[in-house]
Amino acid sequence: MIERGFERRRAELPSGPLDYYVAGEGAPLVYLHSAGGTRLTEPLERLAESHTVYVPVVPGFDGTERVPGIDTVQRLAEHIADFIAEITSGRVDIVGHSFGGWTALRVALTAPDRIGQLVLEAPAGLHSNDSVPQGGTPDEVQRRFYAYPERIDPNERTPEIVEGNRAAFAAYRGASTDPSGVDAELLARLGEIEAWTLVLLGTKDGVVPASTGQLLKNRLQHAYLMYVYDAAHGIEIDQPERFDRLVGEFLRRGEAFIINFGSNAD
Amino acid sequence: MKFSYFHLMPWTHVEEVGRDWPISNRLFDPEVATEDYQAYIDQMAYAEECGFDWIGCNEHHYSPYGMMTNPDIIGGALTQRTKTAKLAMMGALVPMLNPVRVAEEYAMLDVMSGGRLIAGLIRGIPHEYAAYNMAGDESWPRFREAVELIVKAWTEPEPFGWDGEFYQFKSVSIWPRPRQQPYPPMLMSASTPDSARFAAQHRAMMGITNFKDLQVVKDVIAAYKAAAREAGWEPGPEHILVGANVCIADTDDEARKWMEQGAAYLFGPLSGGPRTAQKLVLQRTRYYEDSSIGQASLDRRATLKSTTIDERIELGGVICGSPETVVQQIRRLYDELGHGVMHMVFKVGDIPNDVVTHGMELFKEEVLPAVRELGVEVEVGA
Repeated sequence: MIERGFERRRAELPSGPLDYYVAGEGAPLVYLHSAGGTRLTEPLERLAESHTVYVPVVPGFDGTERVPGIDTVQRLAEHIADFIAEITSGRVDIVGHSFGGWTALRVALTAPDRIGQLVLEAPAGLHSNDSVPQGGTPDEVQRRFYAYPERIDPNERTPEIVEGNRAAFAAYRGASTDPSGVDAELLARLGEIEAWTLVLLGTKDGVVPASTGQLLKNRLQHAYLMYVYDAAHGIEIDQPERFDRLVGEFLRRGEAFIINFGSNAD
Repeated sequence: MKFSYFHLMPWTHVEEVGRDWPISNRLFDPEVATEDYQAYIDQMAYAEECGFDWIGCNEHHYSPYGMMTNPDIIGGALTQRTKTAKLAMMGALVPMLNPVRVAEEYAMLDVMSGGRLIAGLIRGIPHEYAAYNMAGDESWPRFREAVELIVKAWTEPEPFGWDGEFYQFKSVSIWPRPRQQPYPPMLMSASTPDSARFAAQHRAMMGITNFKDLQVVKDVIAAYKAAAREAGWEPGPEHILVGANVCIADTDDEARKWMEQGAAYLFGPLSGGPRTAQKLVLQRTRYYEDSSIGQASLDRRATLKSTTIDERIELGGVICGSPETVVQQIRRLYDELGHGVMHMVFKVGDIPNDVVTHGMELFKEEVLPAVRELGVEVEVGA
């Protein structure tokens, strides 16, 4: 994996160990990775120019061991909340992609006093299995994830790691959702979340439907929903510059994100 | 078959305007134009009484070719003058405009008309790009993005933002939203197989006018149908609009005389300046992503200008004659093309308004009863 200046460390937390990457200086920001596993993308590298960016490796992913007791998305969120309490100070912004966005919502419910703003990049866990296409050719499946799959390094993970990540996600997901694939408890509690939230969805996303964005916009107390044109599920990969700009503006401006500052832009 | 009464609202009070572009507006007399607008809107409202199913508006800039710089303004007037006809905006020149504004104005028209809007989403004639300082190279990519954004603006139940290559909006929530659900039927130009495919992929109706010959029309219809099937739907005749310039008079000779006069004016004073700018845009930009199409477009217009009325009737782009003759011509076009919407321009060039109105009456009394049964009568839905 390209590490882009990130340093790998291990935190020994009351809830168990947690490997993570860290880079940069500035306000703390936790990035929660997708079910594909850890990927230190260009946008993360640029976020580290203005933030201290922490990227936990969810136990069971990328060759790490599962942690006993950390077996649901809620338990994982508590583990991440422990990490925030032990390793960071002040309010922490969270950026979460897909599975990471799902986890971020549960972290926001678990430790509301420590959370600043949320960025949910195509968050999983809130849509039913039948709301998105299933099956298809390898090319069709890949196009649901990436509008520009050629930007992915095909050798970034070994087949064993890919399979391990798949199994880890299936375990967390299976223990946290109803038969339709929805985290119903989270769904019922979305309205409790007070953090200002930016939801990003790619217009070509074939994994998470637009209805998830609409649902979050409707249920969260303070949310903006942005469609990123010509991006699929991996917005950071498909449109990295736009991801940088949108996330940067939102983290700086919060509620005033929707205002055009023109030449007074910071 | 459905019939669409389409108007360009030409300015017909100049004999010669030269070939420069844009055309100097010192030649424009606003007081005379007030009367023109009234007469033209009267004609368009009268089309409903004459049995036309659609009334069509369009957008052109900087020349006497057409005085509708915004079709929605005329569309707004027509919501108050008509009761049942579809109001077909053919349409907003989408790549040159704010797509959210297009979505808003179309939603207004749909609500004001009680759900009668046909939403034309058009790229525009190339010379319009010079009018609004838009890069011809960006025409297709802007169009693709804008169409997606417009549909989002019509359909999203919650406020949303859009971050694209050409358009950025942090927060969109249009009021009103359209009355027709999930959104008004869309119509797109299909002058090439590529544009026909794009229309089919978006489940839009396709329209073609000013074509070289019927084979061109058959080719785009075939491309449209194939792309629709690939996208999982089956278009019917009602999804296919074919256009023609029309003159109906008491006799063939009289109709031909007026059409020759009107066409000469259309291809002369009304088109000289725009053609200059069009050539520049087509030759110097990638208005068509396939550059050979640009040259073909120029060749086609040159060919049309030099053909006779009889040749244009044979090629399919002109309907002209007595009611009996016109019935035969419409039937022939239907037999060849199988389209369900016949788009008709009665005010061709400077054909006098009383000739236009008389032709509309002949259409109502003698043509429409004989051709109404052509095609499948299906209500168009989005």
